[in-house]
Amino acid sequence: MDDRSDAAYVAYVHGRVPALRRIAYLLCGDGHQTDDLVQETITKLYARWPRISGMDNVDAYVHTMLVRAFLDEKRRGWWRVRLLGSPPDSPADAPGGAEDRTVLRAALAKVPPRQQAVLVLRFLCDLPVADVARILNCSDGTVKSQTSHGLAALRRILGPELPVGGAR
Amino acid sequence: MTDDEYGALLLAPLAGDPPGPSRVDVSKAMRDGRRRRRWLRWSPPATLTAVVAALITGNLLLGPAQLHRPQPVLPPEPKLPQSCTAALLPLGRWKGAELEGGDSTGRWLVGVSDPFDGGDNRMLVWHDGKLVVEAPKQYAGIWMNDINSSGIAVGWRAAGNGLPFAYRDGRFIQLKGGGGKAVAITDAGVVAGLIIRDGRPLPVRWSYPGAEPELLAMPPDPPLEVEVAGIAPDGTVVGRVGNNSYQWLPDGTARRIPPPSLPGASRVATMAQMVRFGWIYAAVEDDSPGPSRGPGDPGNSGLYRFEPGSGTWQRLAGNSIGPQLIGNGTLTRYMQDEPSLWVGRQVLKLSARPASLPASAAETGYEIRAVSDDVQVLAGTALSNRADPAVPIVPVIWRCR
Repeated sequence: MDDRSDAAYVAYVHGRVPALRRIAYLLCGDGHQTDDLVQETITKLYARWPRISGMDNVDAYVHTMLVRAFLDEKRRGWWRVRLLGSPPDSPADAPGGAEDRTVLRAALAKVPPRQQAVLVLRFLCDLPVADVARILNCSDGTVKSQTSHGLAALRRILGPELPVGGAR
Repeated sequence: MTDDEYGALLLAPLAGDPPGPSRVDVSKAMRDGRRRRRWLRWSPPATLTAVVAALITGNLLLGPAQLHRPQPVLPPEPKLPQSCTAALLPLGRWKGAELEGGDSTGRWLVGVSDPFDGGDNRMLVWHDGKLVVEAPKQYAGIWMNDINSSGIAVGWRAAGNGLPFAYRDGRFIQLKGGGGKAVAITDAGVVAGLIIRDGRPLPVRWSYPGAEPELLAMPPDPPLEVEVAGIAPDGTVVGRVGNNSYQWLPDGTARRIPPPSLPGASRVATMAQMVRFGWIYAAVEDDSPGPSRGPGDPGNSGLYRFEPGSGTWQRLAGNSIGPQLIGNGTLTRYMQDEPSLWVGRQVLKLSARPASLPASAAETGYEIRAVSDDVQVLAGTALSNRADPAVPIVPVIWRCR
C-alpha cells in the first residue's frame, strides 16, 4: 500500500471514527467494547482499503464490517463470558433513566444477536429497512420479520411492565 | 401503535453517545492490518494437490491446466424429493420448542423447549416423529446441536460457563477437557467441538462422549476466529481458522483447504459452513486488491463447495446467505419467509406448510436445521412474523418422497 493510499485511509478514518463509535455503542452498549469494535473494523478496512476505497458507497461497506464485528463478538461471547467471569457488555452507567436503560440493555442482550442488530439499526440508528438489509446482506422481508421477532422477544423478556419511552 | 412506532419508543432510552474519549488507535489499525495481510499469505505445505476447477454459475469448467486430465469422480448428487408434507412435531406439555438438529436417517431429532410462558429451556428428543425424551429440570439450559442415528445428542450448557455435554442412554455426560462446546457427532459416536485453552478456542475431537479430547493442530499464532462447521461420517472435522478452512483428518493430519483459483484473484478467504453429501460448503471471499466492485456485485465471492477427494471447487451462488446450509458455520442460522435449503448442488424449496400453525402461513418464517441423507425427512422451526407474544415457536417436520 503506498503513501498516497495510506493518506486517503487516514483521512477517511479520522472523519468517520465519531460516527462509527456511536453506532458501535448503540449496538453493544459498552464503552470499552465500542472502541474494540471500531478498532477491529478499521483494521480490517486497512487490509482491504485498496479495493474498497474506490467503491461508490464506502460508508455502507464499513457499516457492514462494523455490524459483522459486533456479531462475531456476540458469537464468541459464550466463551468470553466464562473467561472474564462476567458478560463483557454490561450496561454503561448513565445519569437519568439509568434503570430503564439497564433493564432495556439487559433485555436486548438476551435477544438473538442478528435481531439485536436489526433493532438497533432500525430504531436507534434510524436506518430504513433497505439500508439495514444491505448491511446485513439479507432481504427486506427478512429485516421486517427479524424486527418482529426481536420486538416479540423483547416483549417476552421484559414482561408486562415494559419501560416504553422511558416511562413505566 | 405500529411495530415501527413501538420499537422506536421502546428503544429510545438507549440512544446516546459513548462515554469517555476515544481509545481508537489508527496507527495500530494500520500496523495490525499489515500483519493480517501477511497472515493471509501464510500457507502450510498442502498434502493435497488441488485440482481446482474454475466454476461459473454451478457448471464445472476445467481450466487450461486440467484440459488433458480426466474428469474428477465426484460424489453422486442426492435426489430431490417430488413432494413433501409438513406437520408440527408433538410437544407434550410444552407450548413451544425450537428444532436444533437431526441425524442422517431422519429418525432422530433434537431440540429445546422455548420458555414461552415463563418456563425454561429443556432438551427434547423426537424418534420417528414422537416426543420420547424431555430433559429433567436439573438439566435445564443444556442446548444440543446435533444427534446421531443411535440417539446420542451433543451440545453445551450455555448459562454462565459454557461446558460441552452429551446425552446418551438416558444420561447427561459432561465431556472432558473443561470449558467449551460440542458441535456435531457422527453415527459412529465421534464428536467435534471446541474447548478453551489459555483463553483461546481450540478445535477438538472426542473419539466417543467419555473420551479425552484430541486437540486438533492449528497454524502458528492463530487468530481468535475459530469455528467447527461439522464432522464428516469418517470423523474428519471441518472448520475455519481466521480466513482459511481446514480439514482435520481421522489420523490427526491437519489440511488447509486450498482456496479456489479465481480469475484475477490473489487473496481468497474461505469460511467452511457445513460438510454434507460428500462436499464441504464454504463462503468464499475474494479479498484481492484491485478494481472496486459496486454494491451488490459479488465478483468472485459467494457460496462454493469443495470435494476433498479430487480437490474440486464449484460455485453455487453469488450470495452466501440464501437457501440454508444445514451445518454449524456462522452463516447457517437465520430465518426465511420461504423455507429452502441446499441439497447437493440444488436448492430444495419447501412449499408445504403444517395444517395447524399458531400463526397464518403468510405470517410465519422458518429455520431449517435437519435433513436426512436420503432427503426424505427435514425439520426446522416455525416462528410467527407477528410481534405477538401469544404465538409460540414450534418445531416442524417435512416428510418427503
